[in-house]
Amino acid sequence: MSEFTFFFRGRDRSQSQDQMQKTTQRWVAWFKELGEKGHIKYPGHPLEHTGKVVSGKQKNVHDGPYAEAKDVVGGYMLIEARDITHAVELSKGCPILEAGGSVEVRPVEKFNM
Amino acid sequence: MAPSDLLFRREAGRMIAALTRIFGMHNLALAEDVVQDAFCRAVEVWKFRGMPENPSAWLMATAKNRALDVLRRQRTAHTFAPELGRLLESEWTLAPVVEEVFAPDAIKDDLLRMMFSCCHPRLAEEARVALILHVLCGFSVGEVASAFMSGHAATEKRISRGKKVLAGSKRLFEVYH
Repeated sequence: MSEFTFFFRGRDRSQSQDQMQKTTQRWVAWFKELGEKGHIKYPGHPLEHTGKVVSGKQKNVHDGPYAEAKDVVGGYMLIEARDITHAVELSKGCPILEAGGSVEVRPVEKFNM
Repeated sequence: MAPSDLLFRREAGRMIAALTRIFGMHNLALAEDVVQDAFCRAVEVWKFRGMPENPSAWLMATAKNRALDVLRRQRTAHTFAPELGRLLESEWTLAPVVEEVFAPDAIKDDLLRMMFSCCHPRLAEEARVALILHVLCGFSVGEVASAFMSGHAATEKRISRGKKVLAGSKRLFEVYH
Protein backbone atom coordinates (compact mmCIF):
# COMPACT_ATOMS: atom_id res chain seq x y z
CA MET A 1 0.00 0.00 0.00
CA SER A 2 1.20 3.50 -0.81
CA GLU A 3 0.12 6.87 0.46
CA PHE A 4 -1.57 9.54 -1.60
CA THR A 5 -2.87 12.98 -0.83
CA PHE A 6 -6.16 14.20 -2.23
CA PHE A 7 -6.44 17.95 -2.72
CA PHE A 8 -9.97 19.12 -3.21
CA ARG A 9 -10.66 22.17 -5.32
CA GLY A 10 -13.76 24.10 -6.24
CA ARG A 11 -15.87 23.68 -3.12
CA ASP A 12 -19.17 25.43 -3.64
CA ARG A 13 -19.55 27.97 -0.85
CA SER A 14 -22.70 29.64 -2.09
CA GLN A 15 -25.06 26.81 -1.21
CA SER A 16 -28.27 27.23 0.70
CA GLN A 17 -28.57 25.64 4.14
CA ASP A 18 -30.53 22.79 2.60
CA GLN A 19 -28.05 22.05 -0.17
CA MET A 20 -25.21 22.36 2.28
CA GLN A 21 -26.75 19.68 4.47
CA LYS A 22 -27.12 17.34 1.51
CA THR A 23 -23.53 17.97 0.49
CA THR A 24 -22.17 17.25 3.97
CA GLN A 25 -24.22 14.06 4.10
CA ARG A 26 -22.59 12.95 0.86
CA TRP A 27 -19.17 13.68 2.30
CA VAL A 28 -19.96 11.69 5.43
CA ALA A 29 -21.16 8.76 3.30
CA TRP A 30 -18.00 8.88 1.21
CA PHE A 31 -15.76 9.05 4.31
CA LYS A 32 -17.61 6.11 5.84
CA GLU A 33 -17.11 4.07 2.70
CA LEU A 34 -13.39 4.87 2.46
CA GLY A 35 -12.94 4.35 6.20
CA GLU A 36 -14.66 0.97 6.23
CA LYS A 37 -12.36 -0.24 3.48
CA GLY A 38 -9.35 1.00 5.45
CA HIS A 39 -8.25 3.60 2.91
CA ILE A 40 -8.12 6.64 5.19
CA LYS A 41 -4.62 7.24 6.48
CA TYR A 42 -5.50 10.66 7.87
CA PRO A 43 -8.87 12.27 7.22
CA GLY A 44 -7.49 15.81 6.95
CA HIS A 45 -9.75 18.84 7.13
CA PRO A 46 -11.64 21.28 4.96
CA LEU A 47 -9.89 24.65 4.71
CA GLU A 48 -11.19 28.17 4.87
CA HIS A 49 -11.18 30.08 1.64
CA THR A 50 -8.55 32.66 2.52
CA GLY A 51 -5.45 32.99 4.63
CA LYS A 52 -1.98 34.44 4.23
CA VAL A 53 0.88 33.62 1.92
CA VAL A 54 4.42 34.08 3.19
CA SER A 55 7.09 34.17 0.50
CA GLY A 56 10.74 34.76 -0.29
CA LYS A 57 13.76 35.54 1.77
CA GLN A 58 12.10 38.78 2.75
CA LYS A 59 9.28 36.70 4.22
CA ASN A 60 6.71 38.93 2.63
CA VAL A 61 3.21 38.38 3.89
CA HIS A 62 0.24 38.73 1.56
CA ASP A 63 -3.40 37.93 1.75
CA GLY A 64 -3.83 34.77 -0.20
CA PRO A 65 -4.14 32.50 -2.01
CA TYR A 66 -4.26 34.48 -5.27
CA ALA A 67 -5.83 31.73 -7.31
CA GLU A 68 -9.33 31.89 -8.69
CA ALA A 69 -12.05 30.41 -6.52
CA LYS A 70 -12.16 27.16 -8.47
CA ASP A 71 -8.39 26.72 -8.11
CA VAL A 72 -8.16 27.28 -4.38
CA VAL A 73 -7.49 24.16 -2.35
CA GLY A 74 -10.59 23.67 -0.24
CA GLY A 75 -9.33 20.75 1.80
CA TYR A 76 -7.15 17.66 1.87
CA MET A 77 -6.93 14.11 3.09
CA LEU A 78 -4.36 11.34 3.14
CA ILE A 79 -5.31 7.94 1.80
CA GLU A 80 -3.79 4.53 1.30
CA ALA A 81 -4.10 2.74 -2.02
CA ARG A 82 -2.29 0.07 -4.03
CA ASP A 83 -1.07 2.45 -6.71
CA ILE A 84 -2.03 5.68 -8.43
CA THR A 85 -4.66 3.98 -10.59
CA HIS A 86 -6.33 2.64 -7.47
CA ALA A 87 -6.08 6.05 -5.75
CA VAL A 88 -7.67 7.73 -8.77
CA GLU A 89 -10.45 5.14 -8.72
CA LEU A 90 -11.08 5.94 -5.04
CA SER A 91 -11.17 9.66 -5.72
CA LYS A 92 -14.05 9.22 -8.15
CA GLY A 93 -16.49 8.82 -5.28
CA CYS A 94 -15.75 12.32 -4.01
CA PRO A 95 -18.89 14.49 -3.83
CA ILE A 96 -16.95 17.55 -4.95
CA LEU A 97 -16.93 16.15 -8.49
CA GLU A 98 -20.74 16.32 -8.59
CA ALA A 99 -20.48 20.04 -7.84
CA GLY A 100 -18.02 20.73 -10.65
CA GLY A 101 -14.92 20.63 -8.46
CA SER A 102 -11.80 18.54 -8.83
CA VAL A 103 -9.61 16.14 -6.89
CA GLU A 104 -5.86 16.24 -7.36
CA VAL A 105 -4.25 12.91 -6.54
CA ARG A 106 -0.60 13.14 -5.50
CA PRO A 107 1.62 10.29 -4.34
CA VAL A 108 3.51 11.05 -1.14
CA GLU A 109 7.16 11.37 -1.99
CA LYS A 110 9.53 9.35 0.14
CA PHE A 111 13.07 10.56 0.54
CA ASN A 112 15.59 7.79 0.83
CA MET A 113 18.85 9.07 2.17
CA MET B 1 -39.95 22.11 42.53
CA ALA B 2 -38.88 24.80 40.05
CA PRO B 3 -40.01 24.27 36.45
CA SER B 4 -36.39 24.11 35.35
CA ASP B 5 -35.77 21.19 37.75
CA LEU B 6 -38.52 19.19 36.07
CA LEU B 7 -37.09 20.04 32.69
CA PHE B 8 -33.58 19.05 33.75
CA ARG B 9 -34.85 15.72 35.02
CA ARG B 10 -36.58 15.03 31.75
CA GLU B 11 -33.71 16.09 29.53
CA ALA B 12 -30.76 14.67 31.47
CA GLY B 13 -31.25 11.11 30.25
CA ARG B 14 -31.69 12.12 26.62
CA MET B 15 -28.56 14.26 26.78
CA ILE B 16 -26.53 11.50 28.45
CA ALA B 17 -27.75 9.03 25.82
CA ALA B 18 -26.70 11.22 22.90
CA LEU B 19 -23.39 12.19 24.51
CA THR B 20 -22.34 8.64 25.35
CA ARG B 21 -23.12 7.74 21.77
CA ILE B 22 -20.54 10.30 20.69
CA PHE B 23 -17.97 10.03 23.46
CA GLY B 24 -18.26 6.27 23.94
CA MET B 25 -19.50 4.44 27.02
CA HIS B 26 -16.05 4.56 28.61
CA ASN B 27 -16.46 8.35 28.77
CA LEU B 28 -19.74 8.24 30.70
CA ALA B 29 -18.26 10.57 33.35
CA LEU B 30 -17.34 13.09 30.65
CA ALA B 31 -20.89 12.93 29.28
CA GLU B 32 -22.23 13.62 32.77
CA ASP B 33 -19.89 16.60 33.10
CA VAL B 34 -21.13 18.05 29.83
CA VAL B 35 -24.75 17.67 30.97
CA GLN B 36 -23.99 19.36 34.30
CA ASP B 37 -22.22 22.10 32.44
CA ALA B 38 -25.21 22.67 30.15
CA PHE B 39 -27.54 22.85 33.16
CA CYS B 40 -25.30 25.37 34.91
CA ARG B 41 -25.19 27.52 31.80
CA ALA B 42 -28.96 27.30 31.48
CA VAL B 43 -29.45 28.51 35.07
CA GLU B 44 -27.04 31.38 34.50
CA VAL B 45 -28.39 32.52 31.16
CA TRP B 46 -32.07 32.00 31.91
CA LYS B 47 -31.79 33.98 35.15
CA PHE B 48 -31.15 37.09 33.07
CA ARG B 49 -32.87 36.43 29.80
CA GLY B 50 -35.73 34.29 30.99
CA MET B 51 -36.46 30.79 29.82
CA PRO B 52 -36.24 30.42 26.02
CA GLU B 53 -39.25 29.42 23.98
CA ASN B 54 -38.05 25.86 23.56
CA PRO B 55 -35.88 25.13 26.60
CA SER B 56 -35.33 21.47 25.63
CA ALA B 57 -33.90 22.47 22.28
CA TRP B 58 -31.76 25.11 23.99
CA LEU B 59 -30.29 22.51 26.35
CA MET B 60 -29.66 20.04 23.52
CA ALA B 61 -27.97 22.70 21.41
CA THR B 62 -25.78 23.72 24.35
CA ALA B 63 -24.78 20.12 25.04
CA LYS B 64 -24.09 19.60 21.36
CA ASN B 65 -21.84 22.65 21.10
CA ARG B 66 -20.03 21.70 24.25
CA ALA B 67 -19.52 18.19 22.84
CA LEU B 68 -18.01 19.70 19.68
CA ASP B 69 -15.63 21.77 21.82
CA VAL B 70 -14.55 18.72 23.79
CA LEU B 71 -14.04 16.62 20.66
CA ARG B 72 -12.02 19.32 18.93
CA ARG B 73 -9.80 19.88 21.92
CA GLN B 74 -9.26 16.26 22.91
CA ARG B 75 -9.55 14.24 19.74
CA THR B 76 -5.80 13.73 19.37
CA ALA B 77 -5.32 12.68 22.99
CA HIS B 78 -8.50 10.64 23.59
CA THR B 79 -10.41 7.91 21.90
CA PHE B 80 -14.11 8.46 21.68
CA ALA B 81 -16.93 6.26 20.41
CA PRO B 82 -15.32 3.33 18.56
CA GLU B 83 -18.42 3.00 16.35
CA LEU B 84 -17.95 6.52 15.00
CA GLY B 85 -14.22 6.07 14.80
CA ARG B 86 -12.47 8.39 12.47
CA LEU B 87 -15.53 10.41 11.57
CA LEU B 88 -14.94 12.52 14.68
CA GLU B 89 -11.29 13.15 13.82
CA SER B 90 -11.90 15.44 10.90
CA GLU B 91 -13.78 18.66 10.28
CA TRP B 92 -15.06 17.09 7.07
CA THR B 93 -17.37 14.88 9.08
CA LEU B 94 -17.36 15.99 12.74
CA ALA B 95 -20.24 18.48 12.76
CA PRO B 96 -22.64 16.54 10.49
CA VAL B 97 -22.08 13.30 12.44
CA VAL B 98 -22.69 15.01 15.79
CA GLU B 99 -25.75 16.69 14.29
CA GLU B 100 -27.07 13.29 13.24
CA VAL B 101 -26.64 11.84 16.73
CA PHE B 102 -28.55 14.77 18.25
CA ALA B 103 -31.48 14.48 15.85
CA PRO B 104 -34.67 13.79 17.88
CA ASP B 105 -35.30 10.35 16.35
CA ALA B 106 -31.72 9.27 16.89
CA ILE B 107 -31.93 10.33 20.54
CA LYS B 108 -34.92 8.08 21.09
CA ASP B 109 -32.89 5.12 19.85
CA ASP B 110 -29.93 6.18 21.96
CA LEU B 111 -32.05 6.35 25.08
CA LEU B 112 -33.34 2.83 24.46
CA ARG B 113 -29.84 1.62 23.75
CA MET B 114 -28.61 3.16 27.00
CA MET B 115 -31.39 1.43 28.93
CA PHE B 116 -30.37 -1.93 27.48
CA SER B 117 -26.74 -1.10 28.19
CA CYS B 118 -27.64 -0.40 31.83
CA CYS B 119 -28.89 -4.00 32.02
CA HIS B 120 -25.32 -5.24 31.79
CA PRO B 121 -25.08 -8.95 32.71
CA ARG B 122 -22.51 -8.15 35.38
CA LEU B 123 -25.02 -6.00 37.27
CA ALA B 124 -27.64 -7.18 39.73
CA GLU B 125 -31.22 -6.27 38.95
CA GLU B 126 -31.38 -3.58 41.66
CA ALA B 127 -28.27 -1.97 40.25
CA ARG B 128 -29.72 -2.00 36.72
CA VAL B 129 -32.94 -0.35 37.84
CA ALA B 130 -31.10 2.14 40.03
CA LEU B 131 -28.86 3.12 37.12
CA ILE B 132 -31.75 3.57 34.72
CA LEU B 133 -33.68 5.68 37.24
CA HIS B 134 -30.71 7.81 38.18
CA VAL B 135 -28.74 8.20 34.95
CA LEU B 136 -31.57 8.12 32.40
CA CYS B 137 -34.73 9.18 34.21
CA GLY B 138 -33.33 12.03 36.26
CA PHE B 139 -34.16 10.71 39.75
CA SER B 140 -31.80 11.78 42.51
CA VAL B 141 -29.84 9.26 44.58
CA GLY B 142 -32.13 10.04 47.54
CA GLU B 143 -35.25 9.29 45.51
CA VAL B 144 -33.84 6.05 44.16
CA ALA B 145 -32.83 5.07 47.72
CA SER B 146 -36.32 5.63 49.09
CA ALA B 147 -37.88 3.71 46.18
CA PHE B 148 -35.74 0.72 47.14
CA MET B 149 -36.19 1.45 50.85
CA SER B 150 -32.44 1.32 51.24
CA GLY B 151 -29.89 3.76 52.62
CA HIS B 152 -28.56 6.76 50.77
CA ALA B 153 -24.92 5.71 51.08
CA ALA B 154 -25.61 2.15 49.93
CA THR B 155 -27.57 3.40 46.92
CA GLU B 156 -24.88 5.88 46.03
CA LYS B 157 -22.31 3.11 46.15
CA ARG B 158 -24.49 0.83 44.04
CA ILE B 159 -24.91 3.53 41.40
CA SER B 160 -21.26 4.49 41.23
CA ARG B 161 -20.23 0.84 41.05
CA GLY B 162 -22.77 0.37 38.27
CA LYS B 163 -21.37 3.33 36.36
CA LYS B 164 -17.91 1.81 36.56
CA VAL B 165 -19.19 -1.44 35.09
CA LEU B 166 -20.89 0.51 32.30
CA ALA B 167 -17.77 2.56 31.61
CA GLY B 168 -15.73 -0.64 31.48
CA SER B 169 -18.13 -2.29 29.04
CA LYS B 170 -16.56 -0.37 26.16
CA ARG B 171 -19.39 -0.81 23.72
CA LEU B 172 -22.98 0.25 23.83
CA PHE B 173 -25.70 -2.27 23.36
CA GLU B 174 -26.72 -1.91 19.70
CA VAL B 175 -30.29 -1.34 18.61
CA TYR B 176 -30.88 -2.55 15.08
CA HIS B 177 -33.72 -1.51 12.86
